[in-house]
Amino acid sequence: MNLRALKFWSLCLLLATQLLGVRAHAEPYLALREGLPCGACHVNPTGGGMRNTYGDVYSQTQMPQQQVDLGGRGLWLGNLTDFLRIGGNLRDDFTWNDTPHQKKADSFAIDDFRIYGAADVIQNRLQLYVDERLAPGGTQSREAYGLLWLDQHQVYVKAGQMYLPYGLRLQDDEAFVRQATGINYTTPDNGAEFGYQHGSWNAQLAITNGTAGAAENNQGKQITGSAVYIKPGWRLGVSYSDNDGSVGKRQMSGLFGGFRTGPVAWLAEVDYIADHTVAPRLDEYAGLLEADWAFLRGNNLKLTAEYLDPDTHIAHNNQNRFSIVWEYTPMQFLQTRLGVRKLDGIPQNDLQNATEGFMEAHVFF
Amino acid sequence: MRQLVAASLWLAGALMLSACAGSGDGLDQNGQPIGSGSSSGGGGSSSSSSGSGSGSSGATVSFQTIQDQVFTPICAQCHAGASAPQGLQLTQGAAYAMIVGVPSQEQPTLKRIAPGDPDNSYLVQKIMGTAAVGAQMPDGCPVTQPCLSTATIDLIRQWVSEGAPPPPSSSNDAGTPGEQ
Repeated sequence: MNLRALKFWSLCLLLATQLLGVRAHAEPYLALREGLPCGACHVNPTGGGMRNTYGDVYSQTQMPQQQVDLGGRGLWLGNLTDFLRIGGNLRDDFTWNDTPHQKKADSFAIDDFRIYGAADVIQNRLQLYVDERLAPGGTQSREAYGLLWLDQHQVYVKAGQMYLPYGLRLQDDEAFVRQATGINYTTPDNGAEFGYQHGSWNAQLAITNGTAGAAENNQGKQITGSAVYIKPGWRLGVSYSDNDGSVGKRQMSGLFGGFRTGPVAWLAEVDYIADHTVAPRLDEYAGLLEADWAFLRGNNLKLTAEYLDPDTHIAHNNQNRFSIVWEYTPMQFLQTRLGVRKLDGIPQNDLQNATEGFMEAHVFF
Repeated sequence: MRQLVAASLWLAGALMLSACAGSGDGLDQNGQPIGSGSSSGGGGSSSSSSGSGSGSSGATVSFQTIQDQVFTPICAQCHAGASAPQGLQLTQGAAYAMIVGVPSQEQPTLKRIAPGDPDNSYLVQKIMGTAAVGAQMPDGCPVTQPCLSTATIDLIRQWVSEGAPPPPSSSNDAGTPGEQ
């Protein structure tokens, strides 16, 4: 398939996606950069995990610096059969860590190895989906749910174990906004989710156990919702979560969004957390600023600045985290990442002042 | 022009943030006011929690030392609040009741901490990376953060071997396990 044909099919898929309202969440900066409603790239309507057909095409034709000729095999679209598709991600890292007063350390390790499977039991209507983490450590199910589309893909109902819809779905689970809220790739929960997608609006409401995947032990539930208004060059969203446990409530509210100027995508999120499950009540703020500059085809430079106030009732305890990451996608299915993160916290806590560096090979299909 | 304005705004925001790092005045190593009772006082710097550590020296290990050096500064970054992963809260006041004699969520046949039996304590297996389910803790180690040092793991193993005694004022930690 030549380049012109690939571009043609990419455009067709893009148009089809827009017209049919098929949505998914890409890496947030990519969705913002493309002006898409955070969709088009993943099977899961709230993002993360397996890429859908458009996501596969996009990642093979738009992201890489060069396309390796696959010898007439065509694009990989994940389809094993008409109703069964698979995908996967492997992130292998070499990392080094410099923490004050500690011996420097570096190591090779698998950061994440996942496989995905989706069965379109009834095409465009009923789907079974699984996101299984194979490494590091033993196998663990991250997501496993059934999803029913209604009303011409404007409404859906999802039931099972799922990531919660809240804020920007960043790949970095250690980002303060993901760590402080406790909603990230390590904390899927069991319950049901209702989604609505129409025009520029994209909204979800999830009712879950509120146990981050653990067994429920009371009648309290976690209500998590997110709504975002999306335009081609910008987006603005709000999130809310109320987890009613037997030992008290944990409430969170957030504002997130971004805009694009030329080759740069600008993202931001701020969250407020009121935790009544600890005594005395804990109030936290977490914030993120991110800039992603596509300075050359296949290259992205990501700068982030983060802020965390882990307890507003205590002065002088704030923390910062700064990152610079170069993402290079030389060819389809492969991305390399090189980055440095600097933590800046109270001087008496060495871990809050560490410097981390990493090189990552990310293979995906 | 828009690019310049956006870059200026971003830079201004980043600079404002960088000016906001806490000085730590009046706080202990875990960011709590000195004298607030959250620290054992003799735990030393939190750097020992993942680095050189204070290995088992023959002296009895207290739960509060583990709380101050490991659970609070490292584990409770995620294992906190109502949505703590696996329902496991390791914050001050909640940790003891959530681990000692409590079946693990991932491997219910094992207790998170089985007093006197570190090898069959799931929490010990998780920090050593030998558990049958899931990743080694702290999550992401060694990629996004250091794993616990051998000395720190030995400290926890020693506390478990000694019967996992509760903190002296057990009203906080030995209370009803925090649910969810």
